[in-house]
Amino acid sequence: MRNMNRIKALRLGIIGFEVLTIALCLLSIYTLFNALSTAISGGTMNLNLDRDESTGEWRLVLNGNPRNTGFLGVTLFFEVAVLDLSGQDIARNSTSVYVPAGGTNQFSLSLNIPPDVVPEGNLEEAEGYFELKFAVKTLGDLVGFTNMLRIRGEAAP
Amino acid sequence: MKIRKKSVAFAVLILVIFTILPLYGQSVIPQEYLIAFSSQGFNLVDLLSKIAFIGLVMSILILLKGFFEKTSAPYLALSIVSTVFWLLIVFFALGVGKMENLGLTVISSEAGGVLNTLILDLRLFACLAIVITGLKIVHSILKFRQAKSKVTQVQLTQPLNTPDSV
Repeated sequence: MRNMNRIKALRLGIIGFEVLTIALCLLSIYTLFNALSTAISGGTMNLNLDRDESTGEWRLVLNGNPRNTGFLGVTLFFEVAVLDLSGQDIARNSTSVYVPAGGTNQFSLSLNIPPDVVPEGNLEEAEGYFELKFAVKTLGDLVGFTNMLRIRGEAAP
Repeated sequence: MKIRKKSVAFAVLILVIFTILPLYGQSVIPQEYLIAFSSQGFNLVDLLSKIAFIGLVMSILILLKGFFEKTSAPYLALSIVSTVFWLLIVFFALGVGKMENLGLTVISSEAGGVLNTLILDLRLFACLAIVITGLKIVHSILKFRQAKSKVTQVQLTQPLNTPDSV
């Protein structure tokens, strides 16, 4: 009889554990995709590219005020980098910001591009790669979605 | 040899949903959709074929379980195999068709000098699924042992109740 109760308790425990796992899985997937669609929607981010005329250095600034309408808090991670054609870093910077459920938060990320990698001061003709990484993590950063873009810049023929 | 009707019905249902429908779906999906998916690094035909195979194995396992008594060792073995197979299905679903990734999906596509990589990390749920599978196997073994001991008890008490023994 005692054994039977133990088996029943184990069965109930397994069912409870399964329900909790499924609920957490659905909640975190919903939060991730919700954060993807709302946190980076129009008006919450702006990207500025300026050139310091005295030094010739380019400065890329990404400002954001993401909001989270999901049920769980999320950590947003942003990284921008400029690489040469061999894949070596020329400039790289990253930042992360925690946005609580139903809340907003601010962040700012800047990247200085040295003038010697930009031929004749024309950024569009710079050879190399521009890398942009965006990640959303939730559930204590244990579940996440990452999007990485690598764009190749080529000199005009 | 007898087979439980419930097992046959369930096996047929699984076969229809997971094998026949995905195989039929392959011929119905327009070619342009398949090309669009594959250009994004996602092979839809391969995914549907894998689902069909999973459905076939699942229905065979359910059908086989229907042949054995719940107190028999083959039933326990099949229960454990089914539980492990369910774990593989969870890995398959979490890895969007790639069970070897254990919940980590990486999709890459390149077009016009732009490399786009998407990574979905659901490894936490793969770990939780492993724990659940372990607990389910322990539960199956305990249930089997309990059913076995019940049968033994009944066999031991039966001769005492027969009219000859009185």
